[in-house]
Amino acid sequence: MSLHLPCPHCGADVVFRSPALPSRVCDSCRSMLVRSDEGIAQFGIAAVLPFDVSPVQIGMRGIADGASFEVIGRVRWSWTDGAWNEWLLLFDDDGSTAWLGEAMGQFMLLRERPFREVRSKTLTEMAKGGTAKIGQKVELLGRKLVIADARQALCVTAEGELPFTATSGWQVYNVDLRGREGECVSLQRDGKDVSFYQGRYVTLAELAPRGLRAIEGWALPDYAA
Amino acid sequence: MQPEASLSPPPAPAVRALSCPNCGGTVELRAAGYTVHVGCQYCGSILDATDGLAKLVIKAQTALAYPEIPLGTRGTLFDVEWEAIGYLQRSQNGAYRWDEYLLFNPYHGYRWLVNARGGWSFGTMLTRVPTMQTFSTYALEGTSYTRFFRGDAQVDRVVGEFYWRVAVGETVKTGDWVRPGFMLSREANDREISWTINQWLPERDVVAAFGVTPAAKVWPPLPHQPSPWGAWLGKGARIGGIALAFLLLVSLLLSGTRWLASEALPVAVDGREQSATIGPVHLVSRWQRVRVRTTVPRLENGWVDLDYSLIDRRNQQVYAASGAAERYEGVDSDGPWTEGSRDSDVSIAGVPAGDYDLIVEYKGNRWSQNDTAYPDGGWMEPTNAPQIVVELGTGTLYAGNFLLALLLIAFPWFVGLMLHLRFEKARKEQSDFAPAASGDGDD
Amino acid sequence: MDTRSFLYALWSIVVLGLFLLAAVYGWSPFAEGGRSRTSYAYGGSGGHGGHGGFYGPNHK
Repeated sequence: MSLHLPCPHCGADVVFRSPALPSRVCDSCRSMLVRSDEGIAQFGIAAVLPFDVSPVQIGMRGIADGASFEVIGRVRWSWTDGAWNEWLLLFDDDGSTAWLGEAMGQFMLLRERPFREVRSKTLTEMAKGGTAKIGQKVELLGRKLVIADARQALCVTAEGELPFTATSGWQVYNVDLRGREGECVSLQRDGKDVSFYQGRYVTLAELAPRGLRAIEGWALPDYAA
Repeated sequence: MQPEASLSPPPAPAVRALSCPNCGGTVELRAAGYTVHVGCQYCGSILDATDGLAKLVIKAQTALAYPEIPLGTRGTLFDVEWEAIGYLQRSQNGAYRWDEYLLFNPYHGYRWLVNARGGWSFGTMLTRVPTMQTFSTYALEGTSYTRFFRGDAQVDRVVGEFYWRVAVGETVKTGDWVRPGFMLSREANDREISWTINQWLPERDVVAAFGVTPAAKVWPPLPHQPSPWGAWLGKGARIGGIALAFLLLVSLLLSGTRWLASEALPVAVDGREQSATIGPVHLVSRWQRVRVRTTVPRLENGWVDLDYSLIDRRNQQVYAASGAAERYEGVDSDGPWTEGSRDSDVSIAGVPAGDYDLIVEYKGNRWSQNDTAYPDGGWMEPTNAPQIVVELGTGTLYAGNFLLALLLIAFPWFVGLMLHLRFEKARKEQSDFAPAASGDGDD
Repeated sequence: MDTRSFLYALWSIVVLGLFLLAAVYGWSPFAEGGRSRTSYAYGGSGGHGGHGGFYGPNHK
């Protein structure tokens, strides 16, 4: 059920499409808003998104695992060696969400999974505050994975609808694992809270995207035609 | 075109200009949002552009790089337009220099264009991890790659933008595995291992895409350069095979001799020249080969000279041939030996249809080990009833023609095979794992 | 078909053609005898020369 409300800051119409996504950034004034039973609360203004040439944009549609989705939000993260985007996908039929991670020109499709399913000792220790060792092999849900990256990630800014409030400067500890067949697993630790995501590498082409962002001087790719 | 296109916002700009904090020069950012480091093309400083601002990381310290493909150049490879946005000059400890261009397309991500010794490759970073098959091979998607190089790679010069922190002098451990047309490359440092698949590119593709100057022939070939003959050999074998099958079929149909006449002629004991006429023989085919086979059943330690004249009764045209039957035997320290044969088989080519007489002129000879010109006795003794048996037949096919055709058909294929083997040998000799590694292996 | 295969096929066809042509005429470069320049009435025998000249075993 979509909920239309006026932005308490600028008065523009803001849409909350799902109770599971209580947080959003106002498209007009970039106010960070959180919806609750009491109404709408404002948490300051989101920082301006730095200029980029990402082909993804809010409103882009596509198909993943046979289900169609729409891109409804984005969080931009940075760390010492660069920055990346996490795009929030909302699936039409069941209202579920997934993240499309975009880094180094490659894409990862990840869905959140309950961390209690994870039996790996290495990962449970990490969730309790341990540090990941890059290159360490982890057996997880019947798959052999390797810890590819572990870093302190810093939230740069956000836009659109989100399941949480992404404040600039918010820090999480992020661990990425990779499998041989392009499987990906990501663990995010924020104090005591742990989020666990599982998925795989995808190409934009296989998502059959519609409404890709037009970039000056570049022809839209064949797969978007 | 999508219907809502007219309502959509104007396209996002593709390039952002930054100014180098060191020299003030304008540095263009072509992959904003992805780019981490930029090498300033004017002063060689390294800048951090992660957040869209240019922060000096390393002040101009290295020699400037002048890539052959100017950064910002676009070219189409594999039906996708790519822009060269970064350039690295790399080497193995200062030797074996090669160039790498980082290509970018916002809708397709990054690729590599690598130039080693004038040969080009197109690299794609893998999201899958190849599996080790044996100590010398790796497998990716069911295909196996054989080890070729092992060493270190360092960065010598940098210009343009990159999606990671570049540093001149940065070294990684490298390993390369190959199959024709493709090279699987692993780069490892203490932080991560990354795999790239490099596809060999024909030079004309890179010339067409980026306008590079054609280089001289790459020799020895690149490790993954496909042999220009390898793929053809299979096709050539099919073409040659069809031709040979046809040749064989035709030969089977045309082979065989039809014998028309046979006559036994006595050999005089005194060894004088004798003459006999066989005929008439009627030849029916428009053209034919005439085969004359003479057998000397009793021949031993001697020879018979044979001169044949096949005469057309209509116009006295002569078709001539000569032959000889020789046969010797003896005993030496290795035991008994024999040499030669008791018959002579000759052919007369291109004889037209008609009625013919065959005139046989023959002369029996004896040979003795003590070199007497006309030894007595031997095979020509009258008690031996020495004789020659002359047979005349017709046919069309020559074994010699068949063999010649066979050789001529097979020859080009074998030339291809030789060139292929030469190419493969030269290619494999470059490997660090070549059996007879020469001086250019690891140091 | 690539140029190389085309040329090879062409070469094979030419060789086979010549082979067939030779078969039709009963001709061969390897034939010991053929049409003589003289007619028998004037030229006599076909002449000697079918043998190298030396007779005797080569055995050593």
